[in-house]
Amino acid sequence: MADLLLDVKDLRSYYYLPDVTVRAIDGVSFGISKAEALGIIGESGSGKSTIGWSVLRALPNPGRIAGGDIRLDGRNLLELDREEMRKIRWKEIAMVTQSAMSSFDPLMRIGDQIIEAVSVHEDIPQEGAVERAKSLFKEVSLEPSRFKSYPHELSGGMRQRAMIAMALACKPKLVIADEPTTALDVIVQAQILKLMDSLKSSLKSLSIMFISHDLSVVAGISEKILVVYGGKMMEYGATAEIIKNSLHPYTIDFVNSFPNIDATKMSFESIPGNPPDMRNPPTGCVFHPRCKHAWSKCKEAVPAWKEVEKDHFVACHLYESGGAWEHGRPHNTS
Amino acid sequence: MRLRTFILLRLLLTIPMVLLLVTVVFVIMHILPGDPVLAVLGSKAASQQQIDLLRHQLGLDKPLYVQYLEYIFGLLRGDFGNSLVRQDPVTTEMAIHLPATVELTFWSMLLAIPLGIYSGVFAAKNVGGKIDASIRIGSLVRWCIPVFWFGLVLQIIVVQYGLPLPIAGQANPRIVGVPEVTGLYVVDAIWAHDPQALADAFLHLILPVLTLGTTMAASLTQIARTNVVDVLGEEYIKVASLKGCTDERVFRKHALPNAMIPILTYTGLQVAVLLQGAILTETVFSWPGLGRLLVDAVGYRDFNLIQGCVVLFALVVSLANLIVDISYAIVDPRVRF
Amino acid sequence: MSRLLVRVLSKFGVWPKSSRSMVIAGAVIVITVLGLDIYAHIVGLDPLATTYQGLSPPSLAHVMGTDQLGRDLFSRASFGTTFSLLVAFISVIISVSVGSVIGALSGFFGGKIDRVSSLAFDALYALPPLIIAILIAAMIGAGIVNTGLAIAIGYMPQYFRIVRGIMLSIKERPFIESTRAIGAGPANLIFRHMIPYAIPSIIALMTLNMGSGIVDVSGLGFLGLGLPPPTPEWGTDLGRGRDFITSGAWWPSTFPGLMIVISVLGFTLVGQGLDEIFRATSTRQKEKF
Repeated sequence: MADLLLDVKDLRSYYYLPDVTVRAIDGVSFGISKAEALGIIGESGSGKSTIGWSVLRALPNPGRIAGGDIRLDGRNLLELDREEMRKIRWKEIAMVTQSAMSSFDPLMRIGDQIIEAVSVHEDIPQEGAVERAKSLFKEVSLEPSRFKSYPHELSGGMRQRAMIAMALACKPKLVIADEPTTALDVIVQAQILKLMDSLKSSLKSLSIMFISHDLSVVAGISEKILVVYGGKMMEYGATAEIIKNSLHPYTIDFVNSFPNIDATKMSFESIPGNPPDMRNPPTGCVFHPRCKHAWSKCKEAVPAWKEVEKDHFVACHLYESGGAWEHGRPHNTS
Repeated sequence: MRLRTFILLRLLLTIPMVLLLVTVVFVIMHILPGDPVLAVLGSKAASQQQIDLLRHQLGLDKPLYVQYLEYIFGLLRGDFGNSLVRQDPVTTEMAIHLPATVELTFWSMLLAIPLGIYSGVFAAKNVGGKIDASIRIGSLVRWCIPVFWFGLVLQIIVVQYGLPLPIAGQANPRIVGVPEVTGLYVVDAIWAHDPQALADAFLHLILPVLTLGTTMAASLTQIARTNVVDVLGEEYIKVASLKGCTDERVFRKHALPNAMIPILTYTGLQVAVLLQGAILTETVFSWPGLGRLLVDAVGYRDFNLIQGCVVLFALVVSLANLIVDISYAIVDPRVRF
Repeated sequence: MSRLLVRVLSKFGVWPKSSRSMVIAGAVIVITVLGLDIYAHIVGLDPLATTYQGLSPPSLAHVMGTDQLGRDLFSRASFGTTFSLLVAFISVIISVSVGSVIGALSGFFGGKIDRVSSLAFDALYALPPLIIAILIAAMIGAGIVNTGLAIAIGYMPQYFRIVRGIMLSIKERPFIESTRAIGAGPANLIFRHMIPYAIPSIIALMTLNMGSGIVDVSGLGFLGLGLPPPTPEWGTDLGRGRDFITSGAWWPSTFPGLMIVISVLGFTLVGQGLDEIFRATSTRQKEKF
């Protein structure tokens, strides 16, 4: 607990629409240590992207942080004023978004936009900024000839690399990657992931928050995984544990819906039903309408967050007193 | 494609477009029901001789395709025919009246562009707020006011309150005329070092320019506001803000340049609206320009003069569109590639 | 001046906070204007009756004063509503029908039809609508339908472009392919399946063009090219009133113009409000949190 870079406690972020309030995240807590990569996985609409935007305090209108605590290196980010938060953004926390095409100003050369990221925060002379930008280019394996190109002249993969370079411009402590590979084809996706992996080892103190719906992508990079659904946490643990020893029924189904090249079974399942309507979420456990193992308590009460095994947490009534898996999950269940 | 290639192609494209435009004018004037001869002579008792004579004079007794070819070749030569009323070449008449229209439209745009675009940008910057709403309402209401009524109301105000402003004409005939160098009163007055004439020129410009200028500004405000608001919603603006740029920097360095491209494009396309407004404004203020020439020609059913003026307007609009397209390609790197 | 307007409107609680209230406000205005016209008809006002009180200023007897022939200007202004709105309506109907149909055919079939039509309408689009209207009105003469037609020509390209654009974007969508596979013919496809997508934009544009149409009708009237005298038409009346401005009679030109502004404002509010609503609903369909 002591050396947590990012400490999020009971975060609530709601979107205040004119006729209804959408509780995008409703009580999420987690931590990221230095040089650690946390993967946040969930379906679309589960609130995972909202977590990233909340940490940066950049929720789009009409979203607002409704409660909770976000501490970076001990500092409470929610107490900072606009100017202080602006100084934190990018310098300590940076973001890599999904759509690299629309994330760059079409009228400005790519190199200049990376330089801008540097010069906005640091008071170094122009040549210094240019130098840094060029070296970042090299780090993400982009040809230096592309430095003066316009965004539309680059391919999707190159743009994503440029975005990563831009994110690293101020040597941030934490990079939030929000579906960075979703818009790319598989081969380019692999390249980008390889790049991120190598950056993680070369930049020793870099922490990553990797948000995605694609477990296969998240698993390769993250040490820990947080599973979210309907704005609430379902499970948290080490990557290997989450995948091989899933505890929450949702996690089990989620993992099973990803084909495994080594597995012998020829079919894979999807999760029946639809994601919850966040304007009118289900009572009790938010997953109960789609859960194969739901019982009476699931509809009435919200399950508590419990450490069922060492460093492996879950929010599920099955593991509470009276629940079917109170003493462990049977190994033949799916 | 390279910029040079683009410009070349666009220039070449102008030729068929202009040809099409003048053909449209020809179609309207020759193929529509309504006999221009009877229109000129009036349906009173004109003898068959008179009718036939005029028909021959106008060349209307020749087959249609011959008329069309003569029309096109005439235009290429710069021959627009002769005015039926004044018997002199249409081009002469147009040349006499052109500078007045140029002067009016120039000063009107000088008022309209900064006023309109700045208001629109300012409104977009405060989007959703009271300032934005007031500017939107103001420009909307102004847009609904016909340009000619606005001019009339200004004249009424001047008369009712006895303000010392001229309400008609381009110049006071009692002031000894300055020699005509360009036909632009302001320029000529400066050229002749005549401060009294210069003051006179500006005084006469005030009401017409206010009329036409604010009319244009109303459209420009809406155009500017819409485009800036659209750009502000783009992803890269959000990223720039996330990157740590101050709001001011995001607005000036990222939002405005991107918004200016479509804004200037639309402004260029407003030339058509400008000409329309000029016609009506010149009528209200008895301004001796091409617009008034056209209206008078319509009143006299001066066939050739009407045709000539409309063709000229069409050519001006084509030229404006050409300039807009080329500027767009120069400024936006995406267009060329 | 806009701030004053804002304060005045707020006092009456008519603050256009949303697109919906814009539409409602505009509709109220249009209905009021029409109501005035109906009232004038019911009460039996006569816009043509000349009196001996030529050019008398607004009074209790004549709320808007009289013109040079002693005719009551309030009657003329009310009856004028019919003509302006009718001609504008005719012009909108003509330009919508012709522009949309050709645009639909052009977008759907493509090829030569498309190339020729696009070229023709692009050329037409370059000419300012009023100039086209002046030209046509000068050639075919005055009259309700004639004036409506003259104005309509200039606005056809807008409908052509919108409908053609929508045709092009939906043409390749899977549901069209499947409908075609079932055996639907082009007429069925175009009119039952594809045009409905264009209807929201068309309606918004039609309403806005009612406003432009009214301005154009009065513009033509002002220039003397409109409906023949003694028809009470706003543009003609205010054009005629010009002669008397210098002698201090401000009312013949002011009131008809005011009617123009109010009715155009009504239609424009409705049109812009509808446009915003339709645009918002189509983007909301693409949204996902």
